[in-house]
Amino acid sequence: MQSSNTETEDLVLVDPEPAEPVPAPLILLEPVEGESGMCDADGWCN
Amino acid sequence: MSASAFGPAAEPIVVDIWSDVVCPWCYLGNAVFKQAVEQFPHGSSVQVRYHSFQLNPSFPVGEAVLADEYLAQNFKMPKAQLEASHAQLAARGAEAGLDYQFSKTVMINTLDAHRMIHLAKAHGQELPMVDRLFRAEFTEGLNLSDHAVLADLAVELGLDRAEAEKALETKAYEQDIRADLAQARQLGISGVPFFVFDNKRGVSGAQPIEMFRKALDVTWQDRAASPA
Repeated sequence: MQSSNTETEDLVLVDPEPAEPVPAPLILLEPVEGESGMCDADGWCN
Repeated sequence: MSASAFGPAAEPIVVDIWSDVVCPWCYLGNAVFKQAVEQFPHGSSVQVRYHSFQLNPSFPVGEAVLADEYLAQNFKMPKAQLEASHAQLAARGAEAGLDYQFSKTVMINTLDAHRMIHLAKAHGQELPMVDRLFRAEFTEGLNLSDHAVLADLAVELGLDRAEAEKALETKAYEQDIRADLAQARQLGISGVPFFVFDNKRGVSGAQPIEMFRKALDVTWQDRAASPA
């Protein structure tokens, strides 16, 4: 069987993009009970 | 020996704040946090960095509707409930020296307002711009999607009108805004205001001043305890 070198020569190896460093999880200070005091991404504020 | 004698504590505490100019809790959280920094014995060692977050990013650019109408339509909020919620927030705002005028507040797409914050940041005026935009939105009822209004506010802070107008026309700082939003997603932030202390501790929402004081105290202790 005859193989073609042309196709393999055209291949270019690309290094994968370095993954973005994942930040360490935040230590959340416990919010005061009751209202959240914040607005959600959909615009709802409570 | 005081904490400041340790090397790491000499570095400022960095507080990253994600907020949006149409977020009423962000206005309050911003004011209360500033009071906490004023009370903090090492307040001069606190560096604040604002980051963009967008509530309602799909709101049409350039349009403006009364926020009450928007809330009533989109969340089917009964008028009485809306008024009670406003009254409660206005009372807390007054304690912090804020004058909420909810009947005048308008809902807009805030992308252009965020451009002004990033422009101001480039000129060392980030915090004054954030304060000014909040007051314009919640006390004065200005339309912050109007380029002329935004340029006027920039001029008020000593920035160049032509530069502000160019930033708005050319949609400047898009990459910075997207980076802020991406960072928020990475940190799992789904609402604002959100405060991150030294990339380690988080406070969500406009919490009482004691909570911010605690976050500053603990962060300062972390600094003092970590090896030089």
